[in-house]
Amino acid sequence: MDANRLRFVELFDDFSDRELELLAGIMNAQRFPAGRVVFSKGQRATACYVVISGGVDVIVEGKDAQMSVVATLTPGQMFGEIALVDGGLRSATCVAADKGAELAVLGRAEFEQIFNAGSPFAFKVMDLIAARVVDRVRDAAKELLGVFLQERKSQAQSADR
Amino acid sequence: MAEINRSRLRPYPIFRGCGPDDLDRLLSCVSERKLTSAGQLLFQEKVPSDSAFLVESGLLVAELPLDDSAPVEMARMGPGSVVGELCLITPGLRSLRVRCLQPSSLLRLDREKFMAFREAGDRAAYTVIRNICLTMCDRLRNTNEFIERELNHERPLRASETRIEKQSLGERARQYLSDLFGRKK
Repeated sequence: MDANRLRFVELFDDFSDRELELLAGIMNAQRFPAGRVVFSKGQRATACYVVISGGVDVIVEGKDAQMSVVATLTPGQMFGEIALVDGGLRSATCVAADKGAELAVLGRAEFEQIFNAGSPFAFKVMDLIAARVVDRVRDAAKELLGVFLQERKSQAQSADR
Repeated sequence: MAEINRSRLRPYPIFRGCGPDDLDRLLSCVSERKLTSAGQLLFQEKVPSDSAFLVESGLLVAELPLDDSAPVEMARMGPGSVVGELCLITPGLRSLRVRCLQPSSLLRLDREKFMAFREAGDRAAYTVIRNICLTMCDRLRNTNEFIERELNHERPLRASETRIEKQSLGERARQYLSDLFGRKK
């Protein structure tokens, strides 16, 4: 794909022109019309994605098995990066939003290949993904802690009454 | 004090895939830390993380101190556990305090020295980073499913999940938090 399409992506701000070219060399651009499934929950993951234009709806099963959109990813946002690390199963379904989506796709196999070859560029991508994983761990911990502390507070208030 | 050599690093999953030369290089980041009496603090919460620890023997507990009551135990970590490894990826403050329940012998992995390997693009350092990510991704999958299911969307529990149904939401959140910090199941 064209490296210029990656230039505006904030995630890659630290990448030099050469590194962006390398990245573009291993990423593919894919267009998804509105409503087209990018991947489904439970599918084995083979790639991570960056939204170049348009949007992507993240859909999960809600109450009474209703499917609901929990987030819409916009240009510059990365998703599916956990899969790039562990190749596990998708935890949500992602669908191209109203205006469709153009995505830059980084395949796990391609990433593994450059990582195992000891490419400094692959290490830089790993830095980026690792930092995002840590952010997500810290966010999840914060959310769980909030629920736990809120319940303790409610229990303490009930005991006081 | 026994020599610190590569065989002492091998048992820990964060070094999976590292060859003998890789481990030998990383030894320069490693030093010993002994906690000799029960109750001794390894680190306090809300202080900058400057190292990860590999538990060789003994028993540690990670606790959440509370203003108005006794600290809450979040996880226990014995031989083979890795403590505080996220700091090898990004700096941050310790989220829990950790102290020993039994005299413990640890290996300390210095963040600053490890960062020098990362900055030099050393393969061993990135193998460690990837291994930490693999562990964290695995834990995140379980945690995110719980958050999605019970905090955001209130989907009713499936029959297979009724084992935990009797516990309150807060208690289940605590257990998932504990798993996120590496409680052994």
